[in-house]
Amino acid sequence: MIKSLYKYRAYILYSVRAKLISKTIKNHLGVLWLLLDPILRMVVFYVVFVFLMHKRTENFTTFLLIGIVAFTWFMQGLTMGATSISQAGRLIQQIFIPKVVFPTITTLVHTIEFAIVVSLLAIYISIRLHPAISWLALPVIILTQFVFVYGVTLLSAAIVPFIPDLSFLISHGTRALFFLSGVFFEIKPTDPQYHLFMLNPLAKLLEQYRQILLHGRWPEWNSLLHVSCIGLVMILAGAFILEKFEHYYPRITA
Amino acid sequence: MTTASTDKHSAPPTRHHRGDVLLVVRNAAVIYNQNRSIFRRSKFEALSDVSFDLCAGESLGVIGRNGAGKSTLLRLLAGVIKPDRGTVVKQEGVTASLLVLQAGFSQELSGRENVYLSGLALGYSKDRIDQEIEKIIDFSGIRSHIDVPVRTYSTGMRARLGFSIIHKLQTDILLLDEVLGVGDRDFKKKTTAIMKEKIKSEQTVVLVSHQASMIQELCNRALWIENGVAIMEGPTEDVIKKYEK
Repeated sequence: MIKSLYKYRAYILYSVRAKLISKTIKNHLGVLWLLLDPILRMVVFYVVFVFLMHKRTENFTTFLLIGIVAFTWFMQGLTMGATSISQAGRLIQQIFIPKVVFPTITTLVHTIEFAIVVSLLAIYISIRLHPAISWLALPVIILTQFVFVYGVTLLSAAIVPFIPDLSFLISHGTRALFFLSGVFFEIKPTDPQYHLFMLNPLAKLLEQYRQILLHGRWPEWNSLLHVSCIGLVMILAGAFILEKFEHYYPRITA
Repeated sequence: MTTASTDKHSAPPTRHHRGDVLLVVRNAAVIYNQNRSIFRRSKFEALSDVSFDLCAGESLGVIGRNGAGKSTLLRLLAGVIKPDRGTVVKQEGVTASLLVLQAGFSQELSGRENVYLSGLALGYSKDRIDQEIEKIIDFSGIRSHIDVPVRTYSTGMRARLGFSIIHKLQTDILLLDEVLGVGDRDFKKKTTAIMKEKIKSEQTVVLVSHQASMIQELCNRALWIENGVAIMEGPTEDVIKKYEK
């Protein structure tokens, strides 16, 4: 896997660039959409929860934005990963390219988009809140999520071409996860369902982001290690399947 | 079996002496699953039994009617898929590439950037493209448009650029699927001449076509496949005679 990625590194970089450019060029507002998208989604939740249901916690907008932005990164890895190989269909039927290259490109594209949004969000947050020393842990959490997202992307890229029906399940699954990961609500350690809820690695991750950014507390390092391990296992499994069926994917993608 | 991509990144292909066997295909069969439903499964043998050897420097013409399994054979030789039965063995380090026009082109990128993107997908190294880029642009004859998005190109311009990228591709075994000349009339003449020259040179070529005349003109040996089975193999003259009956 690492050998293939190294060998095709230049192709990967050029493809990432190509994808980013064509994505931003297509719309008039270009790169601004990266930012507008989570903000618009936040506005919807804000309207529902603050104006209609009168539920308001402290720093609700920031709370929401963190959840939405981090969740979107994950969701795009899963959904775009699933189609990454079939989208390269014509190419892989004509030229041999290691299949692990395509989900890797997808992951990198979304990571860069995420990075752009995060840096803009960071400006917003540092205006609204007082920076705390715990913010230094942010790169560690982002790295953890990267490992997790990469694993999810590789695995969905590896499996979905065999069972295209899964893409239906994925869209329902991500919606369920959106509700189950605490994107727009908080579950406190005192709640009885807390431990069950936190079995979801995504919920764990979102909690860590909020711990360090909103509450100025250090993250639970154990949880981060736990989530990275899950991610690592998924990366290995995904890469294994992709490599094993390397010559089979061109037959099942049209 | 070495895959098609092996060592394509490192410099020019290994030199082989004329007559060295580069590739051996024995009883190769490729069976596709025709539909994916779990309720109904039917298999389709695109290739059932094909055997041949390919020697350095020769040009082998594969002839057969539509659906005979020609394209599947090319994919097999390019290392994109593997046979379900039989073997395809390339000699250590031998590369085989299908000539693909506009492989992996991205519409929003400029022509120049697409040269890189497509070249890298085809297995060129970045250094190699850096060296060749100006020659490629000159050859394409669309220098004035090279820095605008490919989306704005006409079909002819796209074909020109695509051809300019691939005609420098160095590979031990060149796999060709019909396409010889592309673009408008002048460019077509130019490209057809180049391809013909390439096929007749020391380059090892497998050319697939349903046109007997093309194979007759360009290949010294021919293989006739029908319904996935090799019917006959031998000197072009003899095979074509039988094929046209």
